[in-house]
Order: sequence, then structure tokens, then C-alpha cells
Amino acid sequence: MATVTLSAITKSFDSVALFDGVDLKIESGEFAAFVGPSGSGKSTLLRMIAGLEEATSGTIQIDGRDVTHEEPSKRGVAMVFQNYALYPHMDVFENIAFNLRIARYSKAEIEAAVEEAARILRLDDLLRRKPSQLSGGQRQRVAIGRAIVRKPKVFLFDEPLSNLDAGLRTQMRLELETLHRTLGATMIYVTHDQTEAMTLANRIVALDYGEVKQVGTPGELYYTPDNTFVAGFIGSPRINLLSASVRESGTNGTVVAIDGLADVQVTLPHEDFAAGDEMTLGIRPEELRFVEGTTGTSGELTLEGTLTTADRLGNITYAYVDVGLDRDITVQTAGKHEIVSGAPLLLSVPVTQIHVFDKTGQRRLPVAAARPVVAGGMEADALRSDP
Amino acid sequence: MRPGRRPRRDGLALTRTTFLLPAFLLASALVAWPFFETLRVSFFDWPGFGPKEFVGVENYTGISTDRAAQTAILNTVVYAVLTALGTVAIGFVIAALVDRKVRGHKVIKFLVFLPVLLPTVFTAQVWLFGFDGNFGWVNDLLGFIHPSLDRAWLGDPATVNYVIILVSILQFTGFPMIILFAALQDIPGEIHEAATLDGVSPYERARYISFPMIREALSTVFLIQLMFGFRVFDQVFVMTQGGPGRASEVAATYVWREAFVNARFGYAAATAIVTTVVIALLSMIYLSIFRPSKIQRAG
Amino acid sequence: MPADRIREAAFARPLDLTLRTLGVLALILWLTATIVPVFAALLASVKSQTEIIADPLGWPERFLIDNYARAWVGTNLGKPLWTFGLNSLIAVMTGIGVGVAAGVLAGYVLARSTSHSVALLNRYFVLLMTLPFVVTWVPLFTLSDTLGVLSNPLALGIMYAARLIPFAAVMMRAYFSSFPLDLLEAASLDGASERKTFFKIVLPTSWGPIASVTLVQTIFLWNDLGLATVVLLDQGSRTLPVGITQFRGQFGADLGALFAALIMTIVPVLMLYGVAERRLVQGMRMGALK
Repeated sequence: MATVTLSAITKSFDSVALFDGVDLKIESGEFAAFVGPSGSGKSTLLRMIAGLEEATSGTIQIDGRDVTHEEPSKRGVAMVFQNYALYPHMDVFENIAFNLRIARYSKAEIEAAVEEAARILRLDDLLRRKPSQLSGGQRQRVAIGRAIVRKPKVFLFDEPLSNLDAGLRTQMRLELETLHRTLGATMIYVTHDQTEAMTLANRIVALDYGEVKQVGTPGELYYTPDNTFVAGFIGSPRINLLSASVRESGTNGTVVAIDGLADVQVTLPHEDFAAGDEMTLGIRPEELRFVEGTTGTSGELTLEGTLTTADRLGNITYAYVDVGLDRDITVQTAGKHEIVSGAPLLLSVPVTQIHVFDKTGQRRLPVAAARPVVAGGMEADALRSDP
Repeated sequence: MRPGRRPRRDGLALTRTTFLLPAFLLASALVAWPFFETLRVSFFDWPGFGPKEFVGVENYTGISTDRAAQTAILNTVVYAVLTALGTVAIGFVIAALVDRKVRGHKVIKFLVFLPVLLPTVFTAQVWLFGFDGNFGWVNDLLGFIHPSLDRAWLGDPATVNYVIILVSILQFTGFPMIILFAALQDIPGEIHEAATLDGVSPYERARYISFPMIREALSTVFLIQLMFGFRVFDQVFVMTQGGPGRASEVAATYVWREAFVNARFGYAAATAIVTTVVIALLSMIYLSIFRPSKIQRAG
Repeated sequence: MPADRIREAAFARPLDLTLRTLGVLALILWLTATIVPVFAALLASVKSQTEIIADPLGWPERFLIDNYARAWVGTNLGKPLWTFGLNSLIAVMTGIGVGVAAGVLAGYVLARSTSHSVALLNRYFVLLMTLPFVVTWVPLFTLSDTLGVLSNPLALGIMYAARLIPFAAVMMRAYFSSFPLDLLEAASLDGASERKTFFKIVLPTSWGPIASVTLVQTIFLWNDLGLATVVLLDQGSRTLPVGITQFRGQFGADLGALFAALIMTIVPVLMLYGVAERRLVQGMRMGALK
């Protein structure tokens, strides 16, 4: 299989710049997901690798070979399109065989190749049907079959599951995972659905309007997001992002005040921050706990609030708690835990689990280094919101 | 179709009938009725005024021995088929060459379609001058390429029909072109991309992918061109009046001449009916070959 | 959409380059062939008689604009151009006015009704569309003669209307069939009668397609020669296309004026095309995509 290397890729449409120097390396056999919102450029990046779009500058290498100016068909890539792009007037066999025919393979070779692909994808009975006679999932498999017979170095997927309904999507996800394991091929997968990316990929490239925000394993992106974009994009339900500012900063650490609420002291190793500097705190819903009693534990940030509403899914409940900020805090708790709307509640989260981001959205704090607050001699009930 | 009758508010039926009536009456009076009247007149011998003399099928038997009439009908069919073929084929090629990404595609389409709108009389007149024996420029140009090309194109029975067909093709190709252009644009871009990835060249794409995918539009537009072709009149009337001899006569000019020059209304009517029958037969044959699904509806 | 941005030039093979160049050449040749005669006529319209004969395709030495003046008033062997134009205007406007109105109304019912008889009517109209018009000339002539309306552009207009009704009805039917059902159901729930729904809701939103159909039919009627020749016997009643066939007789040896007249006859069409190109093309497509 093959590596894919992008070096100093820039891309502009007319005079609007999308990419301004992207460097990326995808290892052989990896399943890499390009994930991001619409317009982030993930499809464009994929298409540049395929050769369907030209980069304004920079180089693309596949398996060590510079393919920046090569024809798409000569790059050794195969692509599965969002709408499958099956030739409607050809049957399944013909669709899969077409590119082999163009490349002038012998009839015997073509038949062997198509039949093998059909076997892998369980299309054997459907070979003589036309695309209009196939279901969405079957069409998708034909599109994949078409890609397989090319024996490409890299498989490219452009949002292939977005046209399928939810149940089918889950099923196809499993099939794609199996396919990856079976073929062991390098696969690049574009999606706007972070769940797909998280479950399928062993490496995720998070993109936000032309910028690569983070590259890493799903775990890395989830537990150590580099910036507010990744923190907010990865993870469902969405992370709670709170606006905060620096209250004071010193050698002991920095006290950060959540706008309108409590203070939290964190240790920020290298920089000094000035009072008033803006920060953003990120707290995952599953890290928050409901606690009883009026005293909070040391080492924890405690917030008081009332329940607005809750999504009870049976095994899990997502509670939306109004703590006095513009937006409710999302808290994940066990389904069996009873909570009542309107009742006063106490939320608590270990300070070590709070992600801290500076005003540019960059991560500033490895989570484990945070320390609890002790504010001016008062007991831990100083953790309460200011009146 | 709903089984049984639905009780309907009187108002609705009245409105609908009122809406339909003018169209139905006018079309029936001035299009349908004339057809049947022509049929009736075809069984008479009539100079257009005065008494009609019933002659049964004499007019029709007359046609079966009339070389000129048969040439006229044959020319009409040949003309229709060749212009349809020519305009659709060339229209497709132009549409395939000029896709949305080509610079100036709007201008090209504008120019190619323009002649379609010009009065056929106009183009016929202008080309007539071009082919004029004394001061025509066609022969000047052709003679420049090769002396043997400088001939009396319109005066030669062997070539006159092809000249007329060529003039028509030049004028009307724009119509299939815009229709096929739209059909080609409807092909999803992803299909072209998939083909490009598969290593299919633009020519191969046009031949193996675009062309089969617009089959429906192709057959529809071909039929439309065919039907228009059967009605040919203007070019022949202006450029050759059916000549030289009767070499370029078509059904419409023949009917016109028989009725309004030779004062044989009955005979003209019979010719018109025979032409209509021939056209109807050919159309049905075409439809059964190329559009089997439509035949069921018309049946 | 990115799908439209494939840069073909970067991926061309030698064969494709040759084909493409050939294609471009062919296209240029084609455009020339179609435009040259018109261009020649345009050039001739400002040349002198002798110059036209001697050098038909050459650039004029001087621009004899008064060719146009002479063309406009015509000679004593024929009527002035504007007479023909006026007759055409009368015939076409009558035809369009009556025909499109009737066709639109009928087309609406054809689209909305589920009754068997209306379905038959639809087939009837389709059949009428395929009728070669030549088969109607003789009776229309005799009828006009009997009614005393030969050489009457207005009467011709009525015949034009009848002729275009099947086309208009069928095309509008196709359009009305795809009219959003919810709008009509909402109106009916509001208590509107079919008539009101049509005039207050359907019609105001349908001007676009109606305009397209109108434009297309206008072109066809304006250029009609056959029926006009049959029915308009009197010189003074003739429409432009018929007039054109007589230019040779009328202008005789004054070729410059002849070409000037020819050019003037296509000015309305060209202006219409320049202004309403998109609608026109849309109308043509509507006709083809039954």
C-alpha cells in the first residue's frame, strides 16, 4: 500500500484563498478521515489528491512519487463518490469493468477481477442489474467494487454514507471497517459527521476553513483537543465551552474567572497572563457530576443551577442545566438518576478535567496540571457563584 | 383513472368546459375540420369554383401513376430524414464540444441558434443569391478551392435537392443543439469525474457515456426535426419552385401548385391526404422502433 | 460546485488534442457557413448594384444607406415594406393573442382534470400537432373565399390561432402538471373556486413559461409562408414572408435596395432574440421535453 504526502499545499479559487500551506502525511495502510464542517475544504483536499482539482502550489506525493501534475487515472487512486456516480446505462458488471476495458485488459482478466470484487462485496447475484434496480446500499457497494478492481494504492471516499438513512449508515460503516481490514489499503475518507470519523479512522485530520486544526488519533482529538474548534467539533453531545477571563496571574498559578460565575485556579506552565485576558474553558458533559449537599469538594469546580430540560434516552440522560450563563450546561448522567425540572442542582467537575484555551482558541493547559482553588482564606464554599 | 364517477360541483364542470371550449372549437374548426374537408374534396374533381364532380378514387389512382407526385412525396421524405439526421448529428457534436466550462460558450450557442429564428424565406432568398449563376458568391468560393466545384448547383437535378437540404441543415442545427446541450448538462458532473479517474478520455466519454445517457432526448429531438422536415415548403418555393423540371418538388409545393396554379383542387387534396398517410405511417414505424413505451400510450 | 472545475487541458492526450482542434475548426467553419450568407446580405445592403455583382463578399467601398430608404418605401411595382410589416403584425398578434389565451386555459384543464374525456382531448390535441399543415390549405382557402375574408390578415390571424392552440395547450399542460399541488389545495380549502384559483394564483406565477411559449410561437407565426401565400391574394394584404418572395419582382435590378429590404425584415426577430434569448430558448426546450 502507499503513503500520501502533501507538502505546502495552497489552493485559491479565483482570488479567494482556501489553503495556505498545508502539510500532511498519511502512512501506508492508514484509515485517515478528513473531517470538518461544510466549506472547510476537506472535499477539495481529497479531490486534489485524486487529481480532480489542481493545487495552486505545493506538491502531492503518492508512495514517494510526485503526482502533482499527473492525470487522475495515472495516480493509482480510486474514488467512491457521494452519489456513487454509477453509469446508469450499464449494468453492475459493466460499471465495475468499465475502467478495465478502457485500459484494454483481456476479457478473461476483466471477468476474473470483476467476479472477485463482486465476491468481496456480495454483489454476485446483482451483476446483471442496472443501477436503477439497486438499493442505496447496493449501489454504494458497486461504487466500491469499481474502486477495488483498479487495485489502487489509495482509496478515496467522498462522504459516501451521507445519502443513506441512519440504519443503513451504521451497517455500511461496519462493512467499510471490514473492508479496510481485509484489504489493508490506505484509505482517505471525507465526512462532516464526526461519529463516522471517530469510529472508522485511525487518524483524523480536522479541518476548519482551509486550516488543519489537528491531526491525531480519535482518542487524541477527543481527550486532548488542540483548540476550541476541535474540542467543539469532536464529541457528541457537544463539549460545554464557557467564556472566562484571567482574574490574576502569578507564580502559583492563574486564577480564571468564569464570566459571571465561579473562579477556578489553574496552573499554566510557561506564560504569564495579564488580568483580563480572555480564556475559554471546555468541560465534557460526561465529566460533570451531580452532587448533593452545599459543600463542594476541593479540587473540583462546583456550579449551581436548575434543570431546564432533559433528554432521557433510557440508558443515558442528557440534562440541560441553567447555571446563569447564556447557554445551558449539558450534563451526562445515568438514565436511572432521577432529576426533576426546576429543582435546584449542584454540578461538579474535577478541575483536572477542564480544558483551558487562550483567547486565540489554542490549548494552554495539559488537563492533568490543573489545581483546585483556595480563595483568600474562605472555605470551599467560596466556590459558589458570586452574588 | 378513477373507477366510477365522482360527484362534482356543477361550478367546476362549467368552469372547465368554458376553459376548454374556445381551444377545442377553434382547433376543430380550423385545423381538424379542414383535414376532413380535404379528405372529402379529394374524391371530387374541382377547379376551385363552380361545380364539383364526384370521381371516387380517380384522383388516387391518378397519383399512383403520376411520377411528379411520387417524386414530390419521395423528396419530402428524403428531405425530412436527411435534415433530421444532419441537424441532430451536428447539433450533438457541437453540444458535446461546447460545454459550460468552455470560454465563450454563451456566444457560440447564441450564434449557432440564431439562424433557427430567421424566416426560412429570408435564408432561402439569401442563399438563392449566393448560388446565383451570375453574381453568386458560393461558386466564387468553391471555385477557389477547386474548379470542378464551380457548377450550377441549383440547376442540376442531381444536386439541387442536396443544396436545399444543406441550406436547411445550416439553418436549423441550432435547435437540436440547444436541446441536446441541456440534456448533456443534466449528466451529473460526478459521472464525468468518475470516468476521468477511470482514465476515460474526453472523446471516449462523449461516445460511451454522454451519448447513451441522452438517448431519450436524442430520439425526441430527432422526431421533432423529422416532423418539421415533412412540412418543407418555404425553401423549395423560394429557391427552385420545384425545379429544375420537377426534381426538387416536395409535397407541399406540389399541392400548392396543383390547387392554386393548375386549378385541380381535388387532385391537390388527394395528394395532401396521401402525404399525410405516408407521414403517419413513417412516424408510427419510427416510434415503434425507438420509443416503445410511448406507443402504448398513443394506442 | 467543484464538479464543474475539471481542468481538461491538463489531462489531454494527443488524440484528444487533435480531435479537439478539429472540433474547434469544424465549429468555426460551421459558424462561418451559417453566418456568411446573412453577412453577405448585410454587406450587399449598403452596396451599389454594380458592386454587388462584381464583388459580392467584399467590404463596401462606400456605405449607401439610402438603399434602405428606397427599400422602406418600396417601388411602384409593389407595396412599401411597412405595409407588409403591418399585416404581419396584425396576423401574428391576433394569432398569439387568441391562440395563447385559448391554449393556456385549455392546457390548465388538461393538466388538472382526471376525466376520461379530457384525456381523450389531450390525445386529440397531440394528434393535431402532428398534422402537416399543407393538408389544411385547400379548405381554408375555400372557406375564406366563401366568407369573403381572403386577403384579410385578421382572418389569417384567427387561422394562426387555431393552428398554435394544440401546441400551446400541450406545452402548458406539461407545465401545469408540475405546478405545486399544495398551493392549489390550500386555495381550495380557502374556498376559492377553480376559476378564481386559476386567475388569482396559478396565472400570476406562470407568466414565465407562458412568455416562453408565446415567444416561440411568435417566431413561428411571424416566419410563416405557406398559409399566408394561400390566403392573402391581394398585394396590400400580404405579410412580410410573402412580401419577401416578391422582392425580386419588386426591386428588379435594384439589388442594393433588395438586400436592404431583406435585412430590415429580420430586424424584429434579431431584436427579440437579443432581448429575450433565455426565454426563447426555454420555450423551445419546453416544446421538446414533452
